[in-house]
Formats: sequence, C-alpha cells, structure tokens
Amino acid sequence: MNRRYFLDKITSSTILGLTFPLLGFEKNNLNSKKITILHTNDVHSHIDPFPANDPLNPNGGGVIARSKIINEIKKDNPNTLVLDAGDVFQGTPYFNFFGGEIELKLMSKMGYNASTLGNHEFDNGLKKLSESLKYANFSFLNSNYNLKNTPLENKIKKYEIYVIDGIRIGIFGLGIELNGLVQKKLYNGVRYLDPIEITNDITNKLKNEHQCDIIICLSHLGFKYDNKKEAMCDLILAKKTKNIDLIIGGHTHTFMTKPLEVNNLNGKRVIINQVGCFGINIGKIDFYLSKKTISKKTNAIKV
Amino acid sequence: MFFSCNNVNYQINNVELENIKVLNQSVKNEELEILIGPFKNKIKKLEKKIGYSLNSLSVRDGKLESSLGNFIADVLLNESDSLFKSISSKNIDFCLLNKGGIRGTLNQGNITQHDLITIMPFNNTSIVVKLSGLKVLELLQYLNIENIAHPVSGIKIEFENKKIKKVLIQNKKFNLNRAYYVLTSNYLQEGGDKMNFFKDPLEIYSLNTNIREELIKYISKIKNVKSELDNRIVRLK
Repeated sequence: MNRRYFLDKITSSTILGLTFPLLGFEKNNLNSKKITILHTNDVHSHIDPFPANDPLNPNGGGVIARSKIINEIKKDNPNTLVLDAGDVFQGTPYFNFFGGEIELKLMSKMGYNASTLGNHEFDNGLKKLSESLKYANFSFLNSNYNLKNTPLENKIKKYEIYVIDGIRIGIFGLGIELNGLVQKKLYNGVRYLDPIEITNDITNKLKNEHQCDIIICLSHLGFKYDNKKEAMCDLILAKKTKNIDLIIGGHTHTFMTKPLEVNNLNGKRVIINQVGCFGINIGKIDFYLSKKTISKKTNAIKV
Repeated sequence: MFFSCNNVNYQINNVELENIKVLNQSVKNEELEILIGPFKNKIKKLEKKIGYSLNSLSVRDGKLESSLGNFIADVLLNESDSLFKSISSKNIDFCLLNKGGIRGTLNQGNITQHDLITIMPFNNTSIVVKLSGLKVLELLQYLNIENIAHPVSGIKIEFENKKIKKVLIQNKKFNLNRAYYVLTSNYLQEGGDKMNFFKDPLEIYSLNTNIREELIKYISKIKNVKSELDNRIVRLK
C-alpha cells in the first residue's frame, strides 16, 4: 500500500495523503463523494488574536481569521462539518466576565455543528454550564458522563447523525475523568463511565443500526500520557475499540505534526488528530467515499 | 414487523489531511465584530497598565522550572509569609503550584490586568498545609514522576536516574522526621492534578487571598518585573 507522508510541520500548504485499503473495489471517480471535516480543540476563550509581539504565536488565532477560513472551505465544499473537541471555556477575561456566552454565540455564528464537554466547561459549575448552553445553536455531545439528576440531564446528546449528500456521519463525544481535575463541587453528580465500553456500544449502534459510513469521536481524553502509560487516552481508545474512523482529540494541547494512524481491535485504521490550542490552527480532513458495489446482505431487524 | 436494510452504503477510499494555521490578517467581519464589540468594551478597563516586564516570562522555557512559574511561586511565597506568620506565628517552608494553573506568557513590556487574567484565569486562593516528612517525600516522588515544570519556591531539588538525589528546603537538607508548612492553592489541596499528598494534612490554614489578586497587588507595587531560570529543580541524568 502506497502511503505518503508529506507533512512534517503544521503549515498552511502541506497535505497528507492517507491511502486506505480499497478492499478490492475500484475507486469510481464519478461516484466519488467528498466530506470535509474542520476541527478545533482547546480554544479556551481565545476570541482575539495573539498580539504581533507574542513570542510564541504572533498574530495567531482569533475568531475573525478562523471564520474566514471556515467560510472559504465551505464555499469550496458545502459538504463540510465544523467540529470542536472541548475546552471552549476558560483562558481569557471573556470567560471570567461573561461565563461562556460570547464563546458559544460566536461558535454558533461560525457554523459549528458539534462540540464535546471538556473539563474546563465545568469551571463555573453544572448549573451555570447548563444555563450557558442556551447560547449554542449546535450540539454538545458526550456519551461517557452519566448526567442523570444533574442540571445537564437531557441537554447533552450521546451522539448525533448527520446525513450529508447521502453520506451518514455518526459523531459521538467522550470526556475525561473529572476526579482529580475539577473540584468536586463543580461536577457533583456526574458519573464517569469507561470510554472503551461506551465506545464499543455506541459505535456498534452507529455502524449497524444507523448504517453510518463515517464514525467520528470528539474526544477530550487527551492524546497520550508518557508518565502515566495506563491512563485512558486517544491512543488506547483507538487500539482497543472498533468502528471509529477518526478521533478528533483535545485536552493535552498537542500540536500534532502529522496525524497518527493506529490499527483498531479489528486491524482497521483509525486516524487521530489534534490541533494544539487557542484557535491557532484548524484541522481539515477530507474523506473521499464511493458506493459499496457488493450487494449488502439483508439484515432483518426486529422492531 | 420486519424490514430489510436497503440503505446505500459508502466506503472510505481515501483521506487527506491538512492542518491550517490561523493568522490574523486584519480582515473585516462585520457580523462577528458587532457581536464581540459590547463584550470587548466591557473588559477594556482591564487594559490599564499596572507594571512593566523587563523580560518575556514563559511557562515553557525550562525543563523542570520556568521563568513565569518561578516568578509566580516566589511572589506568592514572599507575600504570603508575613500573613501566615500573623495567623500562626510560623514561617512557610516552601510553595508548590501546578503548571496547568499558568496558561500563557507575560510578554516583555507593559503588564495589564488583562494579561494576569489570561495567565491565571482561575479564581484559586492560597492555602498553607502542614505536611509530615513522609507526605513531603510523596510530594517529591510526585514531582519526580510528573517530570514537568510545576512552579516551586523555597525548595531546591536534584533528580538523578529517576531518583531523588538532593533536596534543600529553605537551604537546609530535607529531613524526613520533621513536618513542613507548604503553600499551595485550594485547587491542589482538594486533590487537583492528583496531588493527593495535600489531602488530610496535619494542619490547614486558608489565607483567603486570591492568587491572581496577590500578583496584581505585587506588580502594581513593585512596577518593574524580572525573573529567570535558576536551576531550582534539575535532573542530572
């Protein structure tokens, strides 16, 4: 299999081509469809760009520049989803003073389709988080927090299915263990569930019941932890589960120089990507798909 | 009732990936600017100069210490010590904060309240705990394993070959048989960042001072700020 890596540094022009096994099918260009996924993570209330004299990210980020890129890409391919992997909140006075209102209003205007709950979404407690969600016209997805009898009950979806140009895209969210990371009183009543078990359950549902063609996980688990090798992370998640095509990561503020390809439990490839933090980068992933040419064996489903 | 699944299924043939740098190019976006404007105006008052930084302080410029972490831990220890003495008639031995509690850089030039909120967005308060020698050893082992630049002050540590080689607290050799007064934040004392050695201390004193406000007060008073790396925590091999 010809696999090309062109990307060693995050730049505006480099493209990484990952060629997937064609499973014996010929790629039919006429029937080929393209779905674009744009993504951010750990923006942390960075609305204004960094100043020109910033030593690390001069003129980096800012919602206006981000919005311009999103709009241009959407013009090029209307079949685009805009996603975020959590920690929208906390990091500039915009959050200290307005509690997330402006962040969520801006993401709504920029056309975000979904985000997930990062640990800093809990920084003002469950009640205030729940109240702030009214400013978002997109979904927050999480499937491994049990939110029963908390202010977030019924406000967070476990997963969502987007049908774009006939392609069914299933997206679900995973959050990090809050114990030891967030003060107890701020997330009281939220129960953390094992991401592996939940993922196998949800992706099975997305793949087989909902017939999703692409399955994406918005994860705030963190890419990996070198000092705590057993700690749950995207790398472990990818290897120990089935059916995920793409993990959009967050939490560890990892500026990935190239996306990682990992084999899942069935030996199929999972892509992991994360674009640092503070809105300095946007990840862009183009999926090229074609119709499956074999007749699918008929599944009789009892309803 | 039964139905058959005759959904058309698609397969992924190819994936292309590009990470795009977002750079401010002074483009206009009236819709977003109108939305941001009122919020931006309300926080404008934070742009007032409170001091000046003689060099750029970062949380990422050293291996096991950082210029910004050193500055914050030093200021907090110095400013809290007299307050603690007035409560307990004891001195604080050393200070430990967490790297994750410091978020940005303090650029060379004017310092504003806006900068301080960006650097320390959390409303954490200062707490002093009395820890047994054994708990302090646990703390040292935690730093050894974490291997990142958690800010400290009043303590010097040398690690070698994944072992704790030498520890000085207030310039005296660490003594496993005595207790120490350690300054930290309420977040860490409650088990934040899994610093479990702070839980159930021998004594606990809440100073009720907001850590960020302490820093703002100090910078407003001292005006010119400077900090450097000084090898307070090193790993020899």
